[in-house]
Amino acid sequence: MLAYTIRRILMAVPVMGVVAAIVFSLLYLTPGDPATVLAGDQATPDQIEKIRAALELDQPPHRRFASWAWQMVNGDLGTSIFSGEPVAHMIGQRLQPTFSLLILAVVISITVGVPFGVVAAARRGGWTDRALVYFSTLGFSIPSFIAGYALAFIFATQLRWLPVQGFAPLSDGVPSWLRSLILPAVTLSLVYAALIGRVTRASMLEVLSEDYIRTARAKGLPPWRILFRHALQNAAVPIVTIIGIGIATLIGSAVITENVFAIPGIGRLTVDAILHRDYPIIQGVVLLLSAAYVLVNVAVDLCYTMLDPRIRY
Amino acid sequence: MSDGTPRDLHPAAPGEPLRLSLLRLGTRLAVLRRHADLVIGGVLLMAVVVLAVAGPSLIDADPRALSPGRRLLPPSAQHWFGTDQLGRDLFARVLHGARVSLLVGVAVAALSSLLGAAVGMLSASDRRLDAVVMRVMDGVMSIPAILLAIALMAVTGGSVLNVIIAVTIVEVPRVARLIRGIVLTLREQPYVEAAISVGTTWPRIVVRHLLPGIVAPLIVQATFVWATAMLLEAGLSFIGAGTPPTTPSWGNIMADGRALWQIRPTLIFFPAVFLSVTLLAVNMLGDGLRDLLDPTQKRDP
Repeated sequence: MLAYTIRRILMAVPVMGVVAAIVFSLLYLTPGDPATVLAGDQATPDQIEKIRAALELDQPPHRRFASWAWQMVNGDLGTSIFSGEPVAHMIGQRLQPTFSLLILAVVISITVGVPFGVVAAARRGGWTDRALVYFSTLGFSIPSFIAGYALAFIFATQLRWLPVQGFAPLSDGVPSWLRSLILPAVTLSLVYAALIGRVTRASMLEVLSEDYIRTARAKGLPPWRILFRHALQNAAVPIVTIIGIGIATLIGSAVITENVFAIPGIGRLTVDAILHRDYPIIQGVVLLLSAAYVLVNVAVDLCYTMLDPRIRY
Repeated sequence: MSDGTPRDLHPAAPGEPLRLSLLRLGTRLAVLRRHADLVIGGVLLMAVVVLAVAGPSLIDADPRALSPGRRLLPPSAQHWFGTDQLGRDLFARVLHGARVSLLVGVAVAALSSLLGAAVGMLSASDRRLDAVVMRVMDGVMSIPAILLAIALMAVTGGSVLNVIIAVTIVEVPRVARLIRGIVLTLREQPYVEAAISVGTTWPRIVVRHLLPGIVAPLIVQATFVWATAMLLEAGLSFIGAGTPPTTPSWGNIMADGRALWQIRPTLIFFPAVFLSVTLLAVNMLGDGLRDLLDPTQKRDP
């Protein structure tokens, strides 16, 4: 297990290498001068010259990539054009709101999506099942930032149950932290829970036709025990897989939806960076969030062996 | 398409007994019901297309005309959707936004189907090439879609053409993977092996034996790419990384409404409803096409 864990973590290194190479080459594959892009709109020719020298354009590309990648691995994500601050520091300050939001959304989605899918599969064709189909079709068609406005309109401006906008850090206490995050987290959960629900349903349907389920029913086990212990455990691998894959969409939605609720996280940082054409920040955000996505999927792969003892590596 | 025989679709001939034509009507309704997704999605989408193409010329309001005296008006007979904070007619802007959204959707769906199919088939034809291409595709897909699009827009600058290019780059790996998988499976089929064993050239095998197998899944995938592209365009424009503010698109109309939506919710409501209904229509069309073209992937209830 330990050997496999190490091997699986090492397997993520080349993937991150490819990601880094893509992000690095974006700057050079596009028409125009990379130094001008990096310098932003308000740069003087002098500044552009300085950036050009720092880019070491006289060096061969693989050399430049190696030194850039080494810099990134050491936690130096470059310097912001607009504020002159280190990008790693600026992103660090924005991590708490975004990761609070993501974790809460994952928790809500799993606790809603999985039971929903299990019940839909158990009562195939029933109203839960149909509700899941309609709800997920609707969920896939309403962009999360629009759902965010709808929820904010209903629960914040009309019913006044929850704050419209803003974020309360954990240091203000858990209740206000939770209150500020409920609406955005539920917003992000709509699509993600629908996705998890659909896959849970499909995976459960397959397992429920197995012989051992019939045996369990025949010996008179209570239905909930059959569903949640015998069946769900054996249906878990595809569910965990979609949870891992869905994180990419969730991260993307969070970046946009933060702007609906004025949450001062990575999404807001990204929008400010777009406004100021601050490429180093965007590059840092892309690298960091891609790394988070890759790591989540390493964790998902490691879960497989725990969920299904037949999977051995 | 076993049930779609021309007979079922033709209207009853005049003079035919009433009972028979009623029977045929029943069959026709059954066909419609079986493909309800396809029909509803198609009709909704046609409605949006008609509005986008004909709408802006039917109403004589300039989506860019500023009138400071008519700011933030509520919906009325003169301004159906009201006006925004610069006094621009929201109905005209939303109709113009439909053009951008549909253009991006269709262009990205077409481009990434063609490129994705080409990359997928090329990759499946050579083992060493496959290893390299698929690693690159894995890398591209490890970057959350909207973030890759944001990065591409940041280096190229905002324009509708750049949005189309950026979203196509995001979508190509997804299509390529699908097509590669299908080609690898098809290649093992006895009829393809037979063609190889009698010495058919590779280009001929691709055209005669592989292409027919990938057309149906490619069409289905293209509709879903279409929906994703419209979603990404709206998201990009909403955060200021997509269509430039001078061109009204659903995303940047909503971006304009961001600061004032609590005072005048219609600023967000109308573009949001148009975008969601269009996405729903394309998704239903995709589901319907999948049921129609690919019975093995039939979605139950």
